[in-house]
Amino acid sequence: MNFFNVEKEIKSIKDQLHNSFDVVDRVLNLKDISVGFIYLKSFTDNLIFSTAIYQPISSYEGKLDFDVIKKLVQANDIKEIKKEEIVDNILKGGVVILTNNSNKILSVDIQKFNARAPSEPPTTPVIQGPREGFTEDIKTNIGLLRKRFYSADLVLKNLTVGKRTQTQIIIAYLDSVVDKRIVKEIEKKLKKIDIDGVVDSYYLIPFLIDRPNSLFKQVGNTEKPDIVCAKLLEGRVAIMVDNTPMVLTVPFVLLEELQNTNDYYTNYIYSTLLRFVRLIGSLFAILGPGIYIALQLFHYNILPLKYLITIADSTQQIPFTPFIEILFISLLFQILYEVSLRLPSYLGLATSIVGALILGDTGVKAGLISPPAVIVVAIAKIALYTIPEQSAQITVLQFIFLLIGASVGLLGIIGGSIYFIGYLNSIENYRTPYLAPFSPFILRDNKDGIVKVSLTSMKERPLSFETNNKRRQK
Amino acid sequence: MKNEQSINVWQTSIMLFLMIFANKVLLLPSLLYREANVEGTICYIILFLLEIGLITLFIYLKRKYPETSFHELIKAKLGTITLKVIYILFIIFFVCKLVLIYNITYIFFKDLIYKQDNSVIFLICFLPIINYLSFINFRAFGRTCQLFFPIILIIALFCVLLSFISVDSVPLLYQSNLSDIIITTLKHISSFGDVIFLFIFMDKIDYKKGDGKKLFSLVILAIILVVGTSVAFYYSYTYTSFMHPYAIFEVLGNIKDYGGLGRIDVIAVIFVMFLTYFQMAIYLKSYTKCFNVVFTKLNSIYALVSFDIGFILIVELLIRNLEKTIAYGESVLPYLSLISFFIVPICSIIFLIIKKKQNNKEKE
Amino acid sequence: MQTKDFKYYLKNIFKYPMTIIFIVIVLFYGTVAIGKDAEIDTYAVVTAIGLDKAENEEIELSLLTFIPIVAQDFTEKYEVIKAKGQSIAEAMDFAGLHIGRHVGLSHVKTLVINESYFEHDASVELDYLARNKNLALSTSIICTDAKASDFLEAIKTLDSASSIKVDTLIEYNNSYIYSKESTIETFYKGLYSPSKSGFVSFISLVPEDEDGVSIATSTSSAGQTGSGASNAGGESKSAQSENKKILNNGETILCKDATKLVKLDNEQMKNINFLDGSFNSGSIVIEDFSDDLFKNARLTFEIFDNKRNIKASFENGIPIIYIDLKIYVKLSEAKEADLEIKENVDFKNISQEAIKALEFKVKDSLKEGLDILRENKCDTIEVYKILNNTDHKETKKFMESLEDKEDYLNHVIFKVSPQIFSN
Repeated sequence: MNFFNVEKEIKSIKDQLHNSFDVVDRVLNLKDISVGFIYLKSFTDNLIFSTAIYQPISSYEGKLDFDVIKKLVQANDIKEIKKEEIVDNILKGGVVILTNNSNKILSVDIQKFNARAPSEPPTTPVIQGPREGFTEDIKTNIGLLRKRFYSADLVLKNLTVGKRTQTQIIIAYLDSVVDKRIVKEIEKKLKKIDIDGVVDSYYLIPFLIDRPNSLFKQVGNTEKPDIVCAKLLEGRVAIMVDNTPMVLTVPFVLLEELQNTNDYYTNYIYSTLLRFVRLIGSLFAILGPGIYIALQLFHYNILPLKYLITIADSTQQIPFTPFIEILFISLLFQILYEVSLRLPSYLGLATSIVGALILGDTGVKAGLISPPAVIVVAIAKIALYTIPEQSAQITVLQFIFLLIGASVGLLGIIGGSIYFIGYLNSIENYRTPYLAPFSPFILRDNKDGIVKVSLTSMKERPLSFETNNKRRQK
Repeated sequence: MKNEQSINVWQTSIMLFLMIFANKVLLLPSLLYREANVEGTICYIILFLLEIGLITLFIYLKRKYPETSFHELIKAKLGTITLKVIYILFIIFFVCKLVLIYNITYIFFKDLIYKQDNSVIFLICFLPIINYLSFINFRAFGRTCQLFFPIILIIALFCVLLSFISVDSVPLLYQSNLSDIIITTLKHISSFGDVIFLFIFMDKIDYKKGDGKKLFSLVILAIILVVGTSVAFYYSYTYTSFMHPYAIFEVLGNIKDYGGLGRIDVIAVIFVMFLTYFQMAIYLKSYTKCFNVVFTKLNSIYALVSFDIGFILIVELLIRNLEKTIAYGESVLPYLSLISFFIVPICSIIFLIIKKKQNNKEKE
Repeated sequence: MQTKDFKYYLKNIFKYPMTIIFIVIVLFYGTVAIGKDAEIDTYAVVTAIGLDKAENEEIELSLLTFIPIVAQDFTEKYEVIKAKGQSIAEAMDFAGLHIGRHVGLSHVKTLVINESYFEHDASVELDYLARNKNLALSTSIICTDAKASDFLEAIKTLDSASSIKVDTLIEYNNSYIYSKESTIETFYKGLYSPSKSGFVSFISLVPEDEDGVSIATSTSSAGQTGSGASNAGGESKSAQSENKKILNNGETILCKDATKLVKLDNEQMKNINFLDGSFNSGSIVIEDFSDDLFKNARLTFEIFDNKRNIKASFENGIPIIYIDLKIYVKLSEAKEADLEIKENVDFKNISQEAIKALEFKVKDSLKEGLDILRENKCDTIEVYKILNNTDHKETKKFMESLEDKEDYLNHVIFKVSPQIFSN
């Protein structure tokens, strides 16, 4: 038998780790055995190491061999590994134990780092309902999800993506509900990824969809375990990535953005009203400035006289052409938005004062911008955030329609909207029409479409995408 | 899920709805009044009956040949040369229709909301969009129609119902005789028969037994709305119907300030915009398909590029004025309508008879 | 190999048609859009048109135009622009030249036409109105005996100073018993109807100090506001700076072939409207009425609803029209020499005598109305249409039997039965 030379082995491992400063090695030389420990001090729990691993072994008075050591170690996650896996295990927060009278290697996972406690995510605040949010630690996240399913139906599949980061990815789904073809497809797509690092779950999105160059969001993402839970129950698949609180869900339909968590925790009639408001808000955000500029540049004659008088009187002194004016205000807003997002919060107040008071009010008074244009842009920019998840897309669309409206008028705006709907309709990921359940129209799914009905009436899972089990309740 | 690109029966009926509306609510009521007075409504009914006949024929054909496409049928039963001849006629028909519709809407929009005579604006608006719509697959296009359908339907209902507000009194009846009606019907036959796109896309339409009701529900609704518009138009304008060319727009224009909203007739303009886009897209899609059948080696990009160049030339060369367009519509197009009201039905009937004979033989 | 590259390029560019649209729009039209002025700055928004006749058969056109001014309080500033030309279109062109903008007619609400136009076939000269698509059909037509430009000056002060609008004045006519709706649409509808007759509202300008029911405020400085851009030939009355106000008495002119036949006062109009049934409000007065409650009283009844049913039939080739008129009234005023408002005088209970008197009065009105129409051979209540729609063969025969085909009203028998209901 060829046993390890502990010291030599440790040296070679340290060499493989490029002698990084946080690699710790200890060799315990007892009467008949020498035991070597190697781990990363920055990534493991030192207390557990000394009390649960080092101490029991060092104070054992009987005859030590590998099997005894294995019994002595008081940690949960103990496994025997192969020689090639040593470095990998150390890097994932394990303590590797070698002995000179065995060729087996023991790895004890005592990974520890300071994870953030689950808190309410800033992206999706709720008025009523659970406030927990995912954290950057995938283990905590899995715990948050498991806590919601006390059933063996929840399947978690482990994958590793990223040549250098070796990021852990979990595919979660409900075994009896999900359509297995979707899971297989996702697995296939994820396994095909050959990228050096996955920093955030967003890195995976282009690989999961058919049209990675598209402007439109085609994978759902959320920070809240209750949303993931609801989506899993609908028959979707969740993809969790280590080091990010953002969990992806597929298949994704545009309707999901119209649905807000709060809708499910309040009265359904009220949430229907809110969904209409969101729809109108986002439509206004996309088309508002474009229509305004089209009316001003091409179709003054369809404005009622009263509005016309208001607009004409207030735009008389403006030195710019209407298009430049509205572009200027839009850009101004966008700059302010960027600044206020990046600035520390104590400076945010200052920018809003500068933005609202000085630029807006004084701009109007100085005759550089007109009040109607400011109002239209302001409403459109605020309306962007009726669907905050889509604000990026809507902003781009807003500029596109502004340009169309300014260059060809109302006919172009209608043509543009037909074009974009046609485009969205041609998107189909995982055999799921992007605009379902509106086109194709699926009556049953419209129970939770723009109109939401009471939970007692929602007896089926969505038909927009394929699931294994259609029935939710009897 | 036989065909990845096929559309369901609702989407088909929505396309039919759009095609039945076509440009029949714009110029036609006024033109019919000029020649047949209020009895022009009868022309509508006669021509709609013909269209319904075409749709019924399609349903029969689809039942007998659920999987095959129309051009394959022609090729198999009548030979390749017949196929090429018929499909070249189709191509001419669709291009002519496209030119007509484009011209009508161009004049309409220029008269009402665009004041500069700038045809480039219209080409820039229409060409990219209809090219794109005919480039995407048939299913995505069907879905796009479906998504816009509620908007279009609401606007249509709004226009028609609201137009009855302005109804003044009964118009003068019995002013034209049977021959007037028949001549007018024949003269304006080209405004009808757009439903032949069904035959072109026969293989891409899912049809199950009992879907006929669904198909006809929207068709009937569209017919009611079209006839309703013209009736409302005649009732609200009575003697001056001939003076007002754009029926659906004018019926709303007669209503004074509606709840302080100003000019609600703009809604009709938007309605026409939607209709025109979809109609032109359906025509162009049919054109592309026919092109691919005739020139089997060239793909749809060739079809679209050739169309774009040809269309721009025709449109820029044709004088864009209302009278010329009407004259063109009344002189050239009625002959081309033989395709929709003669060739297609004859072919379909031949195929049906062949199938029946085959069935009889099998029974024996 | 180059063709292959081209094919590849084509294929790919069609994969992303958005890029094509974008390049085209951004490059060609985005640049145009940046430089494009608002249409409001290139169009003069006209809210009223006035038409006068000048010498040499020229047309004097005045346009009440909205002039945008730099103001945060959104005051409406109007100017009257004048121009002359051989035709309306020509005058419009000149007006545009004077003001330096295109003339935008899409917001025109009122069209003031001088009475002189209706001396001969007005439709010939007003052809422009029928052809112009920008002019709304619901534009009110007002005929006036004053100069149309003066009328516009009066409207101008009204529009700038108060919320009373002349177009609403005319619009209101429609529901009132004393006058008739008068728009471009009704004008042409009348013209193309079988009897070619119709009504046009008549509103006059009166000096400010004249007594009478006036709705309008006075023009303040009519003299100076005659726009700076106005034509040099404008030796208009407005120069004399005479303050005038608009007075709507409900006068109407009856036209045939777009030519004025007779001017009807509001009482005559009321009579015709009884025949027509096209009114919702108004009042009926009976004088010298006595019954259990009143003695020699003057009673005014307010109309709050009416229903008219008109039917036709032929008896031995002679057409008979049945007009069944139901009027719902309530007593709104009673004047009596020694009136005491007794508690038991219930205004709601009108006695049978009163109703009889009312019915008699209405019947009288109907007859007078019919007489006006018969006299002028104007079939504004569309008797011909009713006959034709009932039985077109008999109508044809009947018309053929007449010597003067225009004069068919005199050969139709009318049977009217007014019924009065009080609530």
